[in-house]
Amino acid sequence: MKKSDRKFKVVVIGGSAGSFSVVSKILSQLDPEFPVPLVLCLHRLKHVRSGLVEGLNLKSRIPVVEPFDKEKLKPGVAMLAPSNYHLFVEFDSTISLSTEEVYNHSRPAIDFAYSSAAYAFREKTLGIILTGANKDGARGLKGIKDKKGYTIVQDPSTCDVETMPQSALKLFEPDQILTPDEIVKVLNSLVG
Amino acid sequence: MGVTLGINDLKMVTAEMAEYPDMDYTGLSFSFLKRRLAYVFEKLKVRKLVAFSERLSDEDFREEVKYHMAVKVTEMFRDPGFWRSVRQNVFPVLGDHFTVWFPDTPSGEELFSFLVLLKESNLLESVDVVCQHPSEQLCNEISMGVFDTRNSELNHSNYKRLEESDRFEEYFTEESGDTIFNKALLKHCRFRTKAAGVAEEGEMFDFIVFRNSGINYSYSRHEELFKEIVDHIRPGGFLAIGVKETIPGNLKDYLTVVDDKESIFRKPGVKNE
Repeated sequence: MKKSDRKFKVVVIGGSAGSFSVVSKILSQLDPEFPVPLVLCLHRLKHVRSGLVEGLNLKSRIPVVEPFDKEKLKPGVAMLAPSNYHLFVEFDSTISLSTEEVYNHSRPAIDFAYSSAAYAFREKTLGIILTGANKDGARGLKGIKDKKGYTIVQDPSTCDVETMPQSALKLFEPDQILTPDEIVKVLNSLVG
Repeated sequence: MGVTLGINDLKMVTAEMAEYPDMDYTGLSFSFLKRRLAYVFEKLKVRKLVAFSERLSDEDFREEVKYHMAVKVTEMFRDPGFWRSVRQNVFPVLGDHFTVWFPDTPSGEELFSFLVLLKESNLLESVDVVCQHPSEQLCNEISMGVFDTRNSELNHSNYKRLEESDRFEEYFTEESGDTIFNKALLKHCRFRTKAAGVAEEGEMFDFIVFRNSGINYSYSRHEELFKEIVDHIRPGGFLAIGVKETIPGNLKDYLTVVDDKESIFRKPGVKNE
Protein backbone atom coordinates (compact mmCIF):
# COMPACT_ATOMS: atom_id res chain seq x y z
CA MET A 1 0.00 0.00 0.00
CA LYS A 2 1.30 3.42 -0.93
CA LYS A 3 1.28 6.08 1.72
CA SER A 4 -0.82 8.31 -0.51
CA ASP A 5 -3.59 5.71 -0.68
CA ARG A 6 -4.53 5.79 2.94
CA LYS A 7 -5.87 8.38 5.33
CA PHE A 8 -3.58 8.42 8.32
CA LYS A 9 -5.22 8.88 11.69
CA VAL A 10 -2.04 9.93 13.44
CA VAL A 11 1.56 10.87 12.73
CA VAL A 12 4.00 10.17 15.55
CA ILE A 13 7.45 11.76 15.51
CA GLY A 14 10.07 10.62 18.00
CA GLY A 15 13.46 12.08 18.66
CA SER A 16 16.13 12.74 21.22
CA ALA A 17 19.50 14.47 21.09
CA GLY A 18 19.55 16.99 18.25
CA SER A 19 15.89 16.56 17.41
CA PHE A 20 14.65 19.96 18.55
CA SER A 21 16.07 21.72 15.51
CA VAL A 22 14.77 19.01 13.16
CA VAL A 23 11.27 19.09 14.64
CA SER A 24 11.33 22.88 14.61
CA LYS A 25 12.30 22.82 10.94
CA ILE A 26 9.54 20.35 10.10
CA LEU A 27 6.90 22.37 11.97
CA SER A 28 8.06 25.62 10.39
CA GLN A 29 7.57 24.19 6.89
CA LEU A 30 4.42 22.22 7.49
CA ASP A 31 1.33 23.23 5.55
CA PRO A 32 -0.99 25.12 7.94
CA GLU A 33 -3.81 22.92 6.59
CA PHE A 34 -2.05 19.76 7.73
CA PRO A 35 -4.99 17.39 8.17
CA VAL A 36 -3.72 14.73 10.58
CA PRO A 37 -3.15 14.79 14.37
CA LEU A 38 0.57 14.98 15.06
CA VAL A 39 2.17 13.53 18.19
CA LEU A 40 5.67 14.59 19.18
CA CYS A 41 7.51 12.40 21.64
CA LEU A 42 10.88 13.94 22.36
CA HIS A 43 13.27 13.11 25.16
CA ARG A 44 13.47 16.09 27.44
CA LEU A 45 14.64 17.15 30.86
CA LYS A 46 12.17 15.75 33.35
CA HIS A 47 12.30 18.66 35.77
CA VAL A 48 11.84 21.36 33.13
CA ARG A 49 8.15 21.63 32.39
CA SER A 50 8.09 24.77 30.31
CA GLY A 51 10.13 26.13 27.41
CA LEU A 52 10.04 23.35 24.86
CA VAL A 53 6.46 23.81 23.70
CA GLU A 54 6.94 27.58 23.63
CA GLY A 55 10.15 27.15 21.63
CA LEU A 56 8.49 24.92 19.06
CA ASN A 57 5.54 27.29 18.75
CA LEU A 58 7.82 30.17 17.80
CA LYS A 59 8.25 28.88 14.25
CA SER A 60 5.55 26.26 13.89
CA ARG A 61 2.82 26.78 11.31
CA ILE A 62 0.43 24.56 13.27
CA PRO A 63 -0.38 24.87 16.99
CA VAL A 64 1.84 22.88 19.36
CA VAL A 65 0.33 21.99 22.73
CA GLU A 66 1.14 19.78 25.68
CA PRO A 67 -1.97 17.67 26.10
CA PHE A 68 -3.72 16.91 29.34
CA ASP A 69 -4.62 13.33 30.14
CA LYS A 70 -7.69 12.12 28.19
CA GLU A 71 -7.49 15.00 25.72
CA LYS A 72 -8.68 14.28 22.18
CA LEU A 73 -6.26 14.22 19.25
CA LYS A 74 -7.01 17.05 16.87
CA PRO A 75 -6.24 17.26 13.13
CA GLY A 76 -3.60 19.86 12.44
CA VAL A 77 -2.50 20.15 16.05
CA ALA A 78 0.85 18.88 17.30
CA MET A 79 0.71 17.36 20.76
CA LEU A 80 4.02 17.26 22.59
CA ALA A 81 4.51 14.59 25.27
CA PRO A 82 4.81 16.43 28.61
CA SER A 83 7.98 16.07 30.61
CA ASN A 84 8.09 13.19 33.08
CA TYR A 85 4.98 11.51 31.66
CA HIS A 86 4.67 8.65 29.22
CA LEU A 87 2.24 9.37 26.41
CA PHE A 88 -0.07 6.78 24.87
CA VAL A 89 -2.45 7.03 21.91
CA GLU A 90 -5.78 5.36 22.63
CA PHE A 91 -8.44 3.67 20.45
CA ASP A 92 -10.88 6.52 21.02
CA SER A 93 -8.40 9.05 19.60
CA THR A 94 -7.52 10.40 23.01
CA ILE A 95 -4.15 10.80 24.66
CA SER A 96 -3.47 9.09 27.94
CA LEU A 97 -0.58 9.97 30.17
CA SER A 98 1.16 7.84 32.73
CA THR A 99 3.79 8.05 35.42
CA GLU A 100 4.70 4.38 35.09
CA GLU A 101 8.32 3.32 35.38
CA VAL A 102 10.90 4.90 33.09
CA TYR A 103 11.55 2.84 29.98
CA ASN A 104 14.80 2.94 28.02
CA HIS A 105 15.88 5.41 30.72
CA SER A 106 13.17 7.71 29.41
CA ARG A 107 9.84 9.20 30.41
CA PRO A 108 8.33 9.93 27.95
CA ALA A 109 9.46 6.77 26.20
CA ILE A 110 9.17 6.97 22.42
CA ASP A 111 8.59 3.22 22.16
CA PHE A 112 5.34 3.63 24.14
CA ALA A 113 4.04 6.43 21.94
CA TYR A 114 4.75 4.46 18.75
CA SER A 115 3.47 1.10 19.94
CA SER A 116 0.25 2.53 21.40
CA ALA A 117 -0.45 4.37 18.14
CA ALA A 118 0.22 1.21 16.17
CA TYR A 119 -2.10 -0.76 18.44
CA ALA A 120 -4.86 1.84 18.15
CA PHE A 121 -4.67 2.77 14.47
CA ARG A 122 -2.63 -0.03 12.85
CA GLU A 123 -1.95 0.73 9.16
CA LYS A 124 -3.27 4.25 9.58
CA THR A 125 -0.25 5.20 11.67
CA LEU A 126 2.73 7.07 10.28
CA GLY A 127 5.83 6.88 12.46
CA ILE A 128 8.96 8.97 11.99
CA ILE A 129 12.15 8.52 14.00
CA LEU A 130 14.70 11.31 14.14
CA THR A 131 18.16 11.89 15.49
CA GLY A 132 18.89 10.64 18.99
CA ALA A 133 21.46 9.16 21.31
CA ASN A 134 19.81 5.97 22.51
CA LYS A 135 17.78 3.12 21.10
CA ASP A 136 14.39 4.22 22.43
CA GLY A 137 11.83 4.25 19.64
CA ALA A 138 13.38 1.55 17.47
CA ARG A 139 11.17 -1.29 18.72
CA GLY A 140 8.07 0.88 18.76
CA LEU A 141 8.64 2.00 15.19
CA LYS A 142 9.06 -1.63 14.18
CA GLY A 143 5.70 -2.19 15.90
CA ILE A 144 4.15 0.33 13.51
CA LYS A 145 5.74 -1.49 10.57
CA ASP A 146 4.48 -4.84 11.90
CA LYS A 147 0.93 -3.44 11.99
CA LYS A 148 1.32 -2.34 8.35
CA GLY A 149 1.75 1.30 9.28
CA TYR A 150 4.13 3.58 7.40
CA THR A 151 7.62 4.18 8.77
CA ILE A 152 10.24 6.81 8.04
CA VAL A 153 13.74 6.97 9.48
CA GLN A 154 15.78 10.15 9.32
CA ASP A 155 18.81 9.62 7.13
CA PRO A 156 21.60 8.94 9.67
CA SER A 157 24.02 11.05 7.65
CA THR A 158 21.85 14.10 8.46
CA CYS A 159 21.60 13.33 12.20
CA ASP A 160 23.44 15.07 15.01
CA VAL A 161 23.48 11.69 16.75
CA GLU A 162 22.69 8.65 14.64
CA THR A 163 22.21 6.01 17.37
CA MET A 164 18.44 6.19 17.36
CA PRO A 165 17.86 5.87 13.60
CA GLN A 166 20.61 3.28 13.31
CA SER A 167 18.93 1.21 16.06
CA ALA A 168 15.74 1.24 14.03
CA LEU A 169 17.58 0.31 10.84
CA LYS A 170 19.20 -2.65 12.60
CA LEU A 171 15.75 -3.97 13.54
CA PHE A 172 13.81 -3.62 10.28
CA GLU A 173 13.63 -2.02 6.88
CA PRO A 174 11.55 1.16 7.01
CA ASP A 175 9.41 2.39 4.15
CA GLN A 176 11.69 5.37 3.63
CA ILE A 177 14.99 6.83 4.86
CA LEU A 178 14.77 10.59 4.37
CA THR A 179 16.45 13.90 5.06
CA PRO A 180 14.48 16.44 7.14
CA ASP A 181 13.51 18.35 3.95
CA GLU A 182 12.21 15.15 2.39
CA ILE A 183 10.24 14.34 5.56
CA VAL A 184 8.54 17.73 5.26
CA LYS A 185 7.59 16.96 1.65
CA VAL A 186 6.07 13.63 2.65
CA LEU A 187 4.04 15.24 5.41
CA ASN A 188 2.81 18.05 3.20
CA SER A 189 1.79 15.49 0.58
CA LEU A 190 -0.88 14.40 3.06
CA VAL A 191 -2.68 17.72 2.57
CA GLY A 192 -5.58 17.68 0.12
CA MET B 1 7.63 -14.35 25.64
CA GLY B 2 5.09 -12.61 27.87
CA VAL B 3 1.35 -13.10 27.99
CA THR B 4 -0.51 -10.93 25.47
CA LEU B 5 -3.89 -9.82 26.76
CA GLY B 6 -6.76 -8.81 24.51
CA ILE B 7 -9.79 -6.81 25.52
CA ASN B 8 -11.85 -9.91 26.29
CA ASP B 9 -9.02 -11.34 28.42
CA LEU B 10 -8.85 -8.10 30.36
CA LYS B 11 -12.59 -8.05 30.95
CA MET B 12 -12.53 -11.63 32.15
CA VAL B 13 -9.53 -11.35 34.42
CA THR B 14 -10.62 -8.07 36.02
CA ALA B 15 -14.06 -9.56 36.66
CA GLU B 16 -12.38 -12.47 38.44
CA MET B 17 -10.14 -10.16 40.43
CA ALA B 18 -13.09 -7.97 41.42
CA GLU B 19 -14.59 -10.87 43.36
CA TYR B 20 -11.86 -10.41 45.96
CA PRO B 21 -11.62 -7.56 48.50
CA ASP B 22 -9.93 -4.37 47.27
CA MET B 23 -9.22 -5.89 43.88
CA ASP B 24 -11.77 -4.13 41.74
CA TYR B 25 -9.66 -2.92 38.85
CA THR B 26 -12.56 -2.84 36.39
CA GLY B 27 -12.50 0.96 36.32
CA LEU B 28 -8.94 1.18 35.04
CA SER B 29 -8.48 2.05 31.38
CA PHE B 30 -7.89 -0.91 29.08
CA SER B 31 -4.55 0.33 27.88
CA PHE B 32 -3.30 0.86 31.41
CA LEU B 33 -4.60 -2.54 32.51
CA LYS B 34 -2.96 -4.20 29.54
CA ARG B 35 0.40 -2.71 30.42
CA ARG B 36 0.08 -3.14 34.14
CA LEU B 37 -1.04 -6.73 34.09
CA ALA B 38 1.78 -7.52 31.65
CA TYR B 39 4.13 -5.95 34.21
CA VAL B 40 2.55 -7.94 37.06
CA PHE B 41 2.72 -11.19 35.07
CA GLU B 42 6.39 -10.58 34.40
CA LYS B 43 7.13 -9.78 38.04
CA LEU B 44 5.26 -12.85 39.27
CA LYS B 45 6.53 -15.06 36.45
CA VAL B 46 3.04 -15.84 35.22
CA ARG B 47 3.18 -17.49 31.80
CA LYS B 48 -0.50 -18.21 31.17
CA LEU B 49 -3.68 -16.34 31.91
CA VAL B 50 -5.36 -19.46 33.21
CA ALA B 51 -2.55 -19.92 35.75
CA PHE B 52 -3.06 -16.37 36.95
CA SER B 53 -6.79 -17.00 37.40
CA GLU B 54 -6.15 -20.18 39.36
CA ARG B 55 -3.63 -18.54 41.66
CA LEU B 56 -6.03 -15.74 42.56
CA SER B 57 -7.57 -17.97 45.19
CA ASP B 58 -4.28 -17.76 47.10
CA GLU B 59 -4.35 -14.78 49.48
CA ASP B 60 -0.57 -14.32 49.38
CA PHE B 61 -0.62 -14.26 45.59
CA ARG B 62 -3.39 -11.65 45.62
CA GLU B 63 -1.30 -9.51 47.93
CA GLU B 64 1.60 -9.72 45.50
CA VAL B 65 -0.67 -8.73 42.64
CA LYS B 66 -1.93 -5.69 44.56
CA TYR B 67 1.64 -4.78 45.43
CA HIS B 68 2.84 -4.83 41.83
CA MET B 69 -0.25 -3.17 40.38
CA ALA B 70 0.85 -0.02 42.19
CA VAL B 71 2.53 2.59 40.00
CA LYS B 72 5.16 3.90 42.36
CA VAL B 73 5.94 7.59 42.39
CA THR B 74 9.59 7.44 41.49
CA GLU B 75 10.83 10.67 43.00
CA MET B 76 10.33 12.93 45.98
CA PHE B 77 9.18 16.50 45.30
CA ARG B 78 8.06 15.63 41.79
CA ASP B 79 7.10 19.03 40.33
CA PRO B 80 8.83 21.30 42.88
CA GLY B 81 6.54 24.15 41.81
CA PHE B 82 3.56 22.18 43.09
CA TRP B 83 5.07 21.81 46.55
CA ARG B 84 5.98 25.48 46.61
CA SER B 85 2.39 26.33 45.81
CA VAL B 86 1.11 24.06 48.58
CA ARG B 87 3.32 25.88 51.04
CA GLN B 88 2.25 29.31 49.79
CA ASN B 89 -1.42 28.80 48.99
CA VAL B 90 -2.68 25.88 51.04
CA PHE B 91 -0.81 25.72 54.35
CA PRO B 92 -1.55 29.32 55.46
CA VAL B 93 -5.30 28.74 55.40
CA LEU B 94 -5.59 25.22 56.82
CA GLY B 95 -5.94 26.35 60.42
CA ASP B 96 -4.55 25.03 63.70
CA HIS B 97 -5.48 21.45 63.04
CA PHE B 98 -6.28 19.79 59.75
CA THR B 99 -6.78 16.41 58.17
CA VAL B 100 -5.16 15.20 54.98
CA TRP B 101 -6.04 12.23 52.80
CA PHE B 102 -3.87 10.43 50.28
CA PRO B 103 -6.56 8.30 48.58
CA ASP B 104 -3.95 6.25 46.74
CA THR B 105 -0.48 5.86 48.23
CA PRO B 106 1.45 3.56 45.89
CA SER B 107 4.84 4.54 47.35
CA GLY B 108 6.31 6.77 50.00
CA GLU B 109 7.77 9.56 47.91
CA GLU B 110 4.70 11.76 47.69
CA LEU B 111 3.82 11.35 51.37
CA PHE B 112 7.39 11.86 52.55
CA SER B 113 7.66 15.04 50.49
CA PHE B 114 4.50 16.31 52.11
CA LEU B 115 5.78 15.50 55.61
CA VAL B 116 9.07 17.29 54.97
CA LEU B 117 7.12 20.31 53.82
CA LEU B 118 4.97 20.19 56.96
CA LYS B 119 8.03 19.85 59.17
CA GLU B 120 9.72 22.86 57.60
CA SER B 121 6.51 24.87 57.97
CA ASN B 122 6.23 23.87 61.66
CA LEU B 123 2.92 22.16 60.98
CA LEU B 124 3.81 18.56 61.71
CA GLU B 125 1.94 18.60 65.04
CA SER B 126 -1.15 20.13 63.45
CA VAL B 127 -2.01 17.32 61.12
CA ASP B 128 -3.63 13.91 60.89
CA VAL B 129 -2.83 12.11 57.66
CA VAL B 130 -4.72 9.13 56.27
CA CYS B 131 -2.94 7.06 53.64
CA GLN B 132 -4.31 4.06 51.87
CA HIS B 133 -3.55 1.41 49.34
CA PRO B 134 -5.00 -2.04 48.68
CA SER B 135 -1.62 -3.69 49.32
CA GLU B 136 -0.91 -4.37 52.98
CA GLN B 137 2.77 -4.94 52.25
CA LEU B 138 3.03 -1.57 50.55
CA CYS B 139 1.31 0.20 53.43
CA ASN B 140 3.69 -1.52 55.86
CA GLU B 141 6.76 -0.52 53.86
CA ILE B 142 5.72 3.11 53.63
CA SER B 143 4.82 3.25 57.33
CA MET B 144 8.34 1.95 58.05
CA GLY B 145 9.88 4.73 55.97
CA VAL B 146 11.04 2.43 53.17
CA PHE B 147 11.60 4.07 49.81
CA ASP B 148 13.58 3.54 46.63
CA THR B 149 17.06 4.81 47.47
CA ARG B 150 18.15 4.53 43.82
CA ASN B 151 16.59 7.93 43.28
CA SER B 152 18.26 9.67 46.24
CA GLU B 153 20.20 12.03 44.02
CA LEU B 154 17.10 13.04 42.08
CA ASN B 155 15.12 13.44 45.31
CA HIS B 156 17.80 15.72 46.67
CA SER B 157 18.02 17.84 43.53
CA ASN B 158 14.21 18.24 43.46
CA TYR B 159 14.33 19.32 47.09
CA LYS B 160 17.04 21.85 46.34
CA ARG B 161 14.87 23.32 43.59
CA LEU B 162 12.24 23.90 46.25
CA GLU B 163 14.29 24.98 49.22
CA GLU B 164 16.79 27.70 49.84
CA SER B 165 18.25 25.88 52.81
CA ASP B 166 19.46 22.32 52.57
CA ARG B 167 18.36 20.12 55.44
CA PHE B 168 17.51 17.16 53.27
CA GLU B 169 19.85 14.71 54.99
CA GLU B 170 18.07 15.33 58.30
CA TYR B 171 15.01 13.47 57.07
CA PHE B 172 16.69 10.13 56.62
CA THR B 173 18.24 7.62 58.97
CA GLU B 174 20.20 4.41 58.66
CA GLU B 175 18.57 1.21 59.84
CA SER B 176 20.24 -2.17 59.40
CA GLY B 177 22.40 -0.71 56.66
CA ASP B 178 19.45 0.72 54.72
CA THR B 179 18.55 4.37 54.35
CA ILE B 180 14.96 4.99 55.43
CA PHE B 181 12.78 8.01 55.89
CA ASN B 182 12.82 9.39 59.42
CA LYS B 183 9.90 7.64 61.12
CA ALA B 184 9.47 10.48 63.59
CA LEU B 185 7.86 12.44 60.79
CA LEU B 186 5.33 9.67 60.24
CA LYS B 187 3.86 9.78 63.72
CA HIS B 188 0.59 11.43 62.70
CA CYS B 189 0.04 9.18 59.70
CA ARG B 190 -2.48 6.37 59.70
CA PHE B 191 -2.31 3.65 57.06
CA ARG B 192 -5.17 1.47 55.93
CA THR B 193 -5.58 -1.18 53.27
CA LYS B 194 -8.36 0.01 51.05
CA ALA B 195 -9.04 0.48 47.36
CA ALA B 196 -7.96 3.79 45.85
CA GLY B 197 -10.35 6.65 46.43
CA VAL B 198 -12.67 4.81 48.81
CA ALA B 199 -13.20 6.72 52.05
CA GLU B 200 -15.22 5.84 55.14
CA GLU B 201 -18.74 7.16 55.12
CA GLY B 202 -18.89 10.72 56.39
CA GLU B 203 -15.12 11.20 56.46
CA MET B 204 -14.15 14.76 55.58
CA PHE B 205 -10.70 16.13 54.87
CA ASP B 206 -9.15 19.57 54.65
CA PHE B 207 -6.68 18.59 51.96
CA ILE B 208 -6.77 15.68 49.55
CA VAL B 209 -3.66 14.82 47.55
CA PHE B 210 -4.55 12.61 44.59
CA ARG B 211 -1.86 13.25 42.02
CA ASN B 212 -1.39 11.15 38.89
CA SER B 213 -3.60 8.27 39.99
CA GLY B 214 -6.76 9.37 38.19
CA ILE B 215 -4.95 9.14 34.85
CA ASN B 216 -4.99 5.36 35.09
CA TYR B 217 -8.79 5.15 35.04
CA SER B 218 -11.26 4.93 32.20
CA TYR B 219 -13.13 8.07 31.28
CA SER B 220 -16.35 7.02 33.02
CA ARG B 221 -14.74 5.68 36.20
CA HIS B 222 -12.51 8.75 36.35
CA GLU B 223 -15.54 10.96 36.68
CA GLU B 224 -17.20 8.74 39.31
CA LEU B 225 -14.00 8.52 41.31
CA PHE B 226 -13.51 12.26 41.36
CA LYS B 227 -17.10 12.79 42.42
CA GLU B 228 -16.53 10.48 45.39
CA ILE B 229 -13.30 12.24 46.28
CA VAL B 230 -14.74 15.75 45.98
CA ASP B 231 -17.58 14.68 48.30
CA HIS B 232 -14.99 14.10 51.02
CA ILE B 233 -13.43 17.57 50.84
CA ARG B 234 -14.53 19.71 53.76
CA PRO B 235 -15.93 23.13 52.81
CA GLY B 236 -12.95 25.42 52.35
CA GLY B 237 -10.71 22.41 51.83
CA PHE B 238 -8.31 21.71 48.97
CA LEU B 239 -7.74 19.09 46.28
CA ALA B 240 -4.46 18.53 44.46
CA ILE B 241 -4.26 16.48 41.27
CA GLY B 242 -1.46 15.85 38.79
CA VAL B 243 -0.27 18.80 36.76
CA LYS B 244 -1.45 17.15 33.54
CA GLU B 245 -4.81 16.00 34.87
CA THR B 246 -8.11 17.80 34.63
CA ILE B 247 -11.14 17.83 36.88
CA PRO B 248 -13.72 15.81 34.96
CA GLY B 249 -17.13 16.91 33.77
CA ASN B 250 -19.27 19.29 35.76
CA LEU B 251 -17.27 18.78 38.97
CA LYS B 252 -15.40 21.92 37.96
CA ASP B 253 -18.50 23.81 39.04
CA TYR B 254 -18.00 22.62 42.62
CA LEU B 255 -14.41 23.79 42.92
CA THR B 256 -12.50 27.01 42.49
CA VAL B 257 -9.02 27.17 41.01
CA VAL B 258 -6.26 28.00 43.48
CA ASP B 259 -3.30 27.34 41.19
CA ASP B 260 -4.11 26.41 37.61
CA LYS B 261 -0.54 25.52 36.66
CA GLU B 262 -0.03 23.23 39.65
CA SER B 263 -3.59 21.82 39.59
CA ILE B 264 -4.71 22.85 43.07
CA PHE B 265 -8.41 23.44 43.67
CA ARG B 266 -10.58 24.49 46.58
CA LYS B 267 -14.10 23.71 47.66
CA PRO B 268 -16.00 26.88 48.40
CA GLY B 269 -17.18 27.45 51.94
CA VAL B 270 -15.73 27.81 55.37
CA LYS B 271 -14.33 25.10 57.62
CA ASN B 272 -16.74 23.88 60.35
CA GLU B 273 -19.58 25.28 58.31
